Amino acid sequence: MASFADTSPGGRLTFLSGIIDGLGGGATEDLTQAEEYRRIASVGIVFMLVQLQSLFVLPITSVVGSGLIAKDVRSNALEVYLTKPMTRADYVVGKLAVIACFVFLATFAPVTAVWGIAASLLEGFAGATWDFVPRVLLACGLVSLVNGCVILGLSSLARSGRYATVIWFALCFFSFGTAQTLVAVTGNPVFSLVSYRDGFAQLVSRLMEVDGLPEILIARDVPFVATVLVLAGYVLLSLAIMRRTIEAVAAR
Amino acid sequence: MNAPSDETAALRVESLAVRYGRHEALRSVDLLFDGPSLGLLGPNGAGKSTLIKTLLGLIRPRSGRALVFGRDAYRDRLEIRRRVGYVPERDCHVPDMSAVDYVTLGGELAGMPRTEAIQRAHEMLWFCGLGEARYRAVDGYSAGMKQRTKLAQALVHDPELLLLDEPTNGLDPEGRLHLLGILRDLQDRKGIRVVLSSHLLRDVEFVCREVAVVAKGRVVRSGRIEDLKRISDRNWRVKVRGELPAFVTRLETAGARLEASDASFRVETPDADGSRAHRRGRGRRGRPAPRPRAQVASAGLLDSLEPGAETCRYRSRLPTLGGDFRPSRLRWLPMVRYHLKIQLRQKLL
Repeated sequence: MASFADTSPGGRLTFLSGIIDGLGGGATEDLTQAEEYRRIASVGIVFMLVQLQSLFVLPITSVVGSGLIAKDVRSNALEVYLTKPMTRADYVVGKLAVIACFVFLATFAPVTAVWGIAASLLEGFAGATWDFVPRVLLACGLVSLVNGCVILGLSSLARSGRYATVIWFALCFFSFGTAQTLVAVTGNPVFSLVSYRDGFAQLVSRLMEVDGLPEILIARDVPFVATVLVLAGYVLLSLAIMRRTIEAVAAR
Repeated sequence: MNAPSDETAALRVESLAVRYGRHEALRSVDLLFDGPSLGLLGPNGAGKSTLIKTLLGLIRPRSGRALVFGRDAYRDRLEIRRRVGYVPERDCHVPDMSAVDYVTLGGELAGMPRTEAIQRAHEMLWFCGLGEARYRAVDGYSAGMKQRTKLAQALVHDPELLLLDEPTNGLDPEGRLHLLGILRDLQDRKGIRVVLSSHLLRDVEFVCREVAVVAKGRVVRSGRIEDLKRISDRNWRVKVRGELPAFVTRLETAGARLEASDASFRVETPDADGSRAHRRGRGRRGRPAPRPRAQVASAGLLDSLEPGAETCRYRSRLPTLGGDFRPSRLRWLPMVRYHLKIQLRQKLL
């Protein structure tokens, strides 16, 4: 079986074939059966989560969240919400919850379903990988929180969801391009944090980190604290924008 | 105004000041209301909406305090909003939502159980005359229907106090009368206190028994409408072309109150014979209605003072609501800023 730490260009392919071998019973001798399940499942879930996040989370967040506050501002519904017995925080949490529902549907639900299927088919799997579900839950929660806050912040800046969508994708692609350029020019991988999307990839990979996970997926070259700080910065900035908008609407 | 003995009056505002940046929206406002209905009367920009929003806890006062049912309007805003219904000035609805869903949502946000909220939403929409159209999206409603939908969502949680901000704006005469009729019915039959903000005296007169006149961020007059009208009969705007000091002295000696504004005075002449002065009678056998006694007395006083100065009398009215704005030297600046803002909003956002 190929080494999991192989980071060569063909490493990922070899690694995937290793997973298939593992499922077929050709696992390395010195690992126990439970550890092997744990490793295979961790790798698979990390893969799924990261891939699903890239494929679905950004467009889903955009479609769902871009108009959430913009429409309320345009139709003055925000005034009605704010004059009901609910706080501004309640309003924002309510909107975040809408986004989280869809994000969880695209990430947590399939990953948990895969885990459930594996647990029902493989003896000892559930016991060996019991901590995956809370880890995935935490990862999805953080992804929903950060993405949700950013899209709501953009939505509160605009009076139309379309404009929020445009700014959202501009933020994703422009920051990604900038990050790639900076990393290529300086050779310092910390600049990958400039990319909005890479921040999530790093966060998720570190949250799902278990023994035996290949280095190529973990992205240890960027300090975890720095990743968390950058994402927290996005959240705080978005909350500040939302607060400003909501207060302005309440007072006008 | 009624004078409640304790602090549990429906509204109690003391030395309230609200500021938006440098602009003082409310300056030392005092108000007490515990009756069935109060009209907030004043021109646009007088501070009526700011006062209502402060009462709802949307705006934090800079100083002073506002109590609603004895509770601090900002600190206990959630509790107050449970007991208060609010009809905003502008069109406001959740896009693509039917009226019944919209009103139900209002009830649920106010803390009602869903089943009860649905039931009440149907009742309120029928009560407001939207029974047949309640399943249609609010986006497609006429202005009058939208106003009534707003009223229904404000009433759905059975509030004790209803705050309405310019509810008749944009309504045709029939729709206006219908809405005002509902408001009168609410206070007379349902026992809901009504606070109506408007710049239309006739709307306030139709619905309210008490009025607070708001101008330039202050409550300049408040009381029963009948009493204020009586004061109005003794109010004169006098322009003097002649020996001014002598005229002023004579007026003050006669017991009149003077308030100078630009080139004219507002003169409040003394009431000739107390409460009787206000009484208005209907003319008998087709004769024209007699002038109120106070008005006759006031006119007489001013006439007697004419030898010293030339005066022009204007029609008596409620206290003036005119603005007192100092124009900036950079008059073009707001225009440029305004256009830039529009362009940025249209092209970028």
